Amino acid sequence: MLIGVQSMTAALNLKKKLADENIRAQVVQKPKGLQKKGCGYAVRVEKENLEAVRTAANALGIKITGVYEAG
Amino acid sequence: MIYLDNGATSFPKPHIVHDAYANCMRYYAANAGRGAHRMSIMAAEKMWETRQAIARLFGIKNPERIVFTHNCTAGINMGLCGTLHSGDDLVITNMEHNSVYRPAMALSKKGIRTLFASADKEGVITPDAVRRELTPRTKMVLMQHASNVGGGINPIREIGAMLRKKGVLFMIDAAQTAGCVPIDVVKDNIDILAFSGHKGLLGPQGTGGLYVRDGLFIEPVFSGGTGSESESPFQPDFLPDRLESGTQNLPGIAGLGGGVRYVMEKGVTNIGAHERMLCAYFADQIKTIEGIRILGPANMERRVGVLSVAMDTPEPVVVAQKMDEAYGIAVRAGLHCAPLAAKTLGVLEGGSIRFSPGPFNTIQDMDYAARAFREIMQKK
Repeated sequence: MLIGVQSMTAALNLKKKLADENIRAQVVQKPKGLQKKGCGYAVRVEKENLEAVRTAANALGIKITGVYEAG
Repeated sequence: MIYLDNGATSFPKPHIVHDAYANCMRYYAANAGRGAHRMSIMAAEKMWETRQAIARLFGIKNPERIVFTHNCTAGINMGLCGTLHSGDDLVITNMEHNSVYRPAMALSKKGIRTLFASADKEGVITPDAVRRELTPRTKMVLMQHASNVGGGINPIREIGAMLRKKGVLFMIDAAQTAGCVPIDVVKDNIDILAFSGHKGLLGPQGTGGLYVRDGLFIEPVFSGGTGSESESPFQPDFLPDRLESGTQNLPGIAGLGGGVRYVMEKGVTNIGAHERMLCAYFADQIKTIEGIRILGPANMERRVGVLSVAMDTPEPVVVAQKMDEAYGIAVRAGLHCAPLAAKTLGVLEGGSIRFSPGPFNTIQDMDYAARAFREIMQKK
């Protein structure tokens, strides 16, 4: 799963929070087709961790810009 | 060389700062937030680590509210210009550095009125002095946490509490206190905090930062590439991207991270106490010299590690030159970029000579400097 966020900083913030919860996440650039255009970052996680990611993002005040099955 | 000019910039830097800076240059000085290759991610992670360290140091809950700048002055300008509009009143003090004074005067040409809170005879600003200058149009109070001339620490927690009740923004210039006086943005009621990275935080020159309270919206002074929302013709509306345009000073920020970790390991309070102790010792050694006047609070507990001395003859700049040439001691003389403070403390004509020890100075350094100062003054 790719969880889109607003910025690299937000992606790293989310990644660190997930690491604290023993959830492995990778910061990637959103591939073409998963965003309108331009630059964007996402956190790649296993599908089973999606809810944990939502909870973590909510706790940090990070806006999720999209959730993608691809990746 | 005995370096006693830490009020201008700290020297030496801890080894952890050298290593962090050099390692970045050698191994991962890619462009953070401008790609997703391993080096770029590592660069962004190092920036994030520094943001986290600064957040811990200042009691900031969300590191994303910290913006890197190239010095404290840049942060002050960003905070001022991004917040105030024509018709607003701004309160500063009559002890401010030109980093505050000049931007405020520049804004006066754009319809923003500046009022000046007056210091007491020791150069310290009281809550009452600030309260007296507030008007119904006051949008912000901007003041230094401590003076780079008099060394006095201002009671920002009390002033911040008073302003919070009145709904007035409170911006602090922490150039002289970040790293040697505890700062907690929540407890101190700070809305915007500008800090230097290369002074008390022991980072490389070209570093600094700006904290902006959650929910406070600042217009960017600079616009440009942020590596986010690139399709938009306008700046992103979220921090830090909104206020961080263009490639950042990654080696400097990595070094700053090392400096902040060093400060936290040693303890802000301990560092401040060490510097105060050195100043108190020095003051005690020179107090009997005829014709000098030590500026700022007599009570050393109310000061940072800055000790300025005024005299008529020889001129402070001449004394400073002799300290360098004959004794190998680095000190600064003049107005210290703070003519307001110099006027308030009565030294606008001749200026003062400033001794500002850092974490690595010793009693022996201060002893040597005191003897050198005494010899120069007695040969006049």
